[in-house]
Amino acid sequence: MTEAVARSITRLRLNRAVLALAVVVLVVLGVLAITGDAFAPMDPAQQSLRARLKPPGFEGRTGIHWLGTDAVGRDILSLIVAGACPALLVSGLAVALAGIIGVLVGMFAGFRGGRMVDLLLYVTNIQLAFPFFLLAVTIVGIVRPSVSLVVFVIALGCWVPFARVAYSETIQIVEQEYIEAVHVMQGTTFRILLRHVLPNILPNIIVLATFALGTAIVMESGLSFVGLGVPTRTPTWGKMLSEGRDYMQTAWWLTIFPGFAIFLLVLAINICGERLRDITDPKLMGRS
Amino acid sequence: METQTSEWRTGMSFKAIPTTFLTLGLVLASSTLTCSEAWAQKTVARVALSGGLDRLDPIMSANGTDLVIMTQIYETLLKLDPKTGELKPNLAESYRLKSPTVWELKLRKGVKFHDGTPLTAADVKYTIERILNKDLASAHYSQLTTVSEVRVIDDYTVEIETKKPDPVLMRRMQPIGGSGRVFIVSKAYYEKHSPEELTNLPMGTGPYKLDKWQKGASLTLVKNEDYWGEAPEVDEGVFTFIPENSTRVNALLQNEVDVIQRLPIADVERVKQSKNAHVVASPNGLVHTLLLDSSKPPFNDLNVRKAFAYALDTSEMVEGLLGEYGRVLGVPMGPNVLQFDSSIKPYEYDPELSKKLLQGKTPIKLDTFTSDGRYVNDRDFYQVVNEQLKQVGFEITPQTLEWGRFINLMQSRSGGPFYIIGWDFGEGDASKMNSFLQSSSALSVTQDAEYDRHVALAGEETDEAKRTEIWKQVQKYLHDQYFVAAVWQASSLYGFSNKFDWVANFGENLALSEFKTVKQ
Repeated sequence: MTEAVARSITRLRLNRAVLALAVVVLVVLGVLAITGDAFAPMDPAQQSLRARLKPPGFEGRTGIHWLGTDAVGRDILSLIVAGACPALLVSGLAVALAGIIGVLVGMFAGFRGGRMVDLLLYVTNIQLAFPFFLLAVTIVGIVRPSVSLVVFVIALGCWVPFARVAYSETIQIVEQEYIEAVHVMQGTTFRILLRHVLPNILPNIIVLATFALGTAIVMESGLSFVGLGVPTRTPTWGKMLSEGRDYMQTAWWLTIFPGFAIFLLVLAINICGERLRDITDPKLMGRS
Repeated sequence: METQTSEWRTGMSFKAIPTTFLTLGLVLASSTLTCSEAWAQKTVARVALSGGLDRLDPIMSANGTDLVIMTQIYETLLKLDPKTGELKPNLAESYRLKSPTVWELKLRKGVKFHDGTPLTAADVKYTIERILNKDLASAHYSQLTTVSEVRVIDDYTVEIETKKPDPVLMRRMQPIGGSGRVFIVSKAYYEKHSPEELTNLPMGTGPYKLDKWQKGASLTLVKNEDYWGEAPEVDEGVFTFIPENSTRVNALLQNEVDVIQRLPIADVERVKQSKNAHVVASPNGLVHTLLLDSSKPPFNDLNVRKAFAYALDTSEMVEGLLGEYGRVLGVPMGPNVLQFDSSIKPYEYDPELSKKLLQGKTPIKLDTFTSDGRYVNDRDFYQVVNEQLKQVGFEITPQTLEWGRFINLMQSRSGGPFYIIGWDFGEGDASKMNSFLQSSSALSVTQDAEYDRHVALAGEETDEAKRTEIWKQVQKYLHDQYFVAAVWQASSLYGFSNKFDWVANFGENLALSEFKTVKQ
């Protein structure tokens, strides 16, 4: 018995340590995203053909390239630091957009019922059946890529879960409080939704948002990988993966480091998301 | 354990076991013998190309990958001597200028198509007339527009008459770099088959014929046993398509293929150091030109073009990205070209001059298109160029396009303000420049009357020395007008298994018939 307890305590401590690490990673990347390339050791756009494809630890003209240089001599570490901004900003905006639209649509459908529900289910089913990437590539392939276009396209791929969760949650709340709502008819539908429904579904929406953020980051990397991402002066993480593909066997640092950055960010987000879900899940509340 | 052994024993007769093994052994031994005998007699070269095949009708296609296959199956009237660059007999035994506008060619006797029918003058007439058939939209049409009539004098004599004297016509019709390359097809064969069948069932006079083609997977060529010329060493060629660079190189190093096209520079060392493969390089690769769209703003202004040219450190760029496999050129043609003027130097790197020239005009914002993977390190070239342009006041927003779409835009003159295209100057004549500088060419974004006037004169001049003089003047004019901001030539790089060797005389022309087997 004592062994079991000891094991669960170690697990708990490990879990806490892992969570702490995840939070640290998120905070660091968040700060980097806000400050852009302020914390980059070198100018990420600085090219040097004499110092191209150099391995980690190479000493260049302006300092040591801790993670090596890319095909036109840019410092990989600085590129990764600079890449945090597009990764988080684009994904963050997309998730915010998807969340707002999805939640509004879902809540409305849940409250009104009837034909709106049918419409919602119809639209979401069609969209879910359509492979996201094909849709994204088609849209961005026709129109010139830009920040707003990419945000819109990723939001398009993320809004459905928000609508569905908002819808199912709203139905439950409305069923429970319907009688009271009839008395509170002084407000418009919108006010009722905003004041009474939204605060109750918010915890689940927030948890959903964190997981959606991870998905959005991978989507953004995927779009950059095929050349349809946000146009930036220096390559984003996804673009770095794409550019490094030709050199995987001769200059592995071009792909390993940005790939690891994407992995680390999404992992940290998922760990925090899970913890958030554990916190907000009423069934588990007693255990922690 | 005991139960298992007893089951085994009861399941098989004791005597059968040694007999089975003996028979098996004999069968294996004999099959290995016949296998190795068969293999020893047949030399197979497995080639991995970097792109897919489109269509194998030489009248219609000028696509690089299609050409690799078509050059093994079809032949032209004349070919180029690799050392002197002179035209040499091929399907035509001899040729002469009968009068300033009439070429007379005498065909080789005894040449047969793969289906056994003989090559005659009627086939030559048919081929050229088919290319000139406007309804078909042949890729080579624009290069043969000077031809007014083709006449059959007898079975082995053809006369080609031109509207005006065209001294370069014969040279344009041969296969190397020739945009007007004329592969002779069989009149009877073409009249019997539909256009769809013709793109899938090529039939020519060449050293190899089509065995089988599984679209998207592989294509097999076998030796033409009745070939009129020297028998090649390679009996069979199996062509596969591996567009992904690293996959293609790995296929060579793991002995899955014997030859790869377009070996990336980054992998040259790996191949050199491998035990089973080596590098084959030719300096006569594509000539890359950084073309400026001078038909529209901002590059319709000479000073902006000049500023663009001086903003680029082309020598450092070529040295850094291509190393020993690239060289900067001062004029937009290959050094092998007869009229190449080596006295004209590439533009200097002078960003301060650029800034001065652009005073009051900056920032110049441009939306551009770029290619990625079409030419050697093109993605890197574009990145370096865009960054260097930023330093002097251009702000470039690039978008990468897939090549098929990009070339379509270029052909309608909407490929963007500037881009890189590579040209094969293998035919050795300056008139190739017309493809991208003459107003009438679909791919030209230079609409300059002065240039057109000069090259029209050069086109009609039959005296070789006078022609060269005119072309030298053209080169000086181009240099002063900054239509082409940078020029460099990249070596053609191939990876070869140590089982074969090849001397790449003409960079882009991969001829199976020239492969030599190496005793291991």
